Amino acid sequence: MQQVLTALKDIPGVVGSFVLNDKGVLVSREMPAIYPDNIYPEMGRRLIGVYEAIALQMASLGDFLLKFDGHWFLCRRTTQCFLGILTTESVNYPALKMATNVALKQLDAQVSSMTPILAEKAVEPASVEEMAVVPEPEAAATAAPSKGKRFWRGSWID
Amino acid sequence: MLAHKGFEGVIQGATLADLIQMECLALTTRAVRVDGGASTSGRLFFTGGQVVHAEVGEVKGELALFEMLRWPTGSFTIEEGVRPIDETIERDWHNLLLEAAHHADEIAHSATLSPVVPLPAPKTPADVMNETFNDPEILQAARFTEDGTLLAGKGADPESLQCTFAYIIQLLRHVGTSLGAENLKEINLIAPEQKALCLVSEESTTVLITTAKANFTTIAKKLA
Repeated sequence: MQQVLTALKDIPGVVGSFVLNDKGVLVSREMPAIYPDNIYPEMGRRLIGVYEAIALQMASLGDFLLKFDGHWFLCRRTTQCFLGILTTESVNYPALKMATNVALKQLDAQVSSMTPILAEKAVEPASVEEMAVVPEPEAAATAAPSKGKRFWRGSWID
Repeated sequence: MLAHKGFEGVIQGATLADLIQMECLALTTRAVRVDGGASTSGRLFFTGGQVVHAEVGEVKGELALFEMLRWPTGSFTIEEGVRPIDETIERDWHNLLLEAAHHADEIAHSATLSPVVPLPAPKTPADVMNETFNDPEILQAARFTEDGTLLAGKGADPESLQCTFAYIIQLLRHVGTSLGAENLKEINLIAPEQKALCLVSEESTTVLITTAKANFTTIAKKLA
């Protein structure tokens, strides 16, 4: 799976990418080291919230592209996973789209057998009402396991 | 009040082709209104040193440019900050001027003149917004402010559209913050049969639910 994400960097402008499973839990990432693993649980919850909210308004959402100052974020979804790609705004979007088509095809088969990187309690898709209060980004830090715990063979130990 | 920078004066004997060369070499982005006398006028649009659009009445694109280049005399006025609604010219300006000369030769040879129609008033942002909302490819639309005021809508339930997008914008701003990306400007949502374009600015947010065929690049340019 790591190879699939690494291959996305062949497209100039791709900063990094990650895969969340259908519960929003991180299963693989190829992101620069400045992004700690504890950002992904909150991100997964929010991405699921976006998909749920959009489902109330229009037919099932497949992909979305966010354009920020200097950066774009593309999120593509399959039945098994979410693929998130952070790029600069100069990225060749058609080339990126095709690269992610190929990546998704390969990822879908692999995701179900992957062990989550952060073996946290799975994030259940929350209802829109429950999602209405959005925690501050700092709250992401609290979702990470406490210091002194180590991840060993699929579970956290003291 | 700040004075305009640069020189001012009158140049006689210069041609419109000279002006185009000057604007393109200076890599300007602005419009130039060209008056050819006898109620004939047109407008040229430059973006980054290329001619991207020209209009003379209802005539647009290269034909409009060629028309203006054939006017024997005239004057021009620089219009700063005026942007084109369409981009009808793609050819590099060097080729464009060569083609214009060729075109002028052909016209002179056939001695036929195209009709000149008075220049319509430039479209206001409100006109562009109404035009966009009335586009048959736009199925639903809503425009609202950050404080929750619904400014305009299209479709059965613009309030619901506003609620949904006001919420997801908040979520996606947090996603961006986690990734170190600031100032969410645009969201493109792709579903099998529909798409959604959300343009976020300080003044207002515009959400358009469109058919799958709609071209977001064109729509976003129009509304920018």
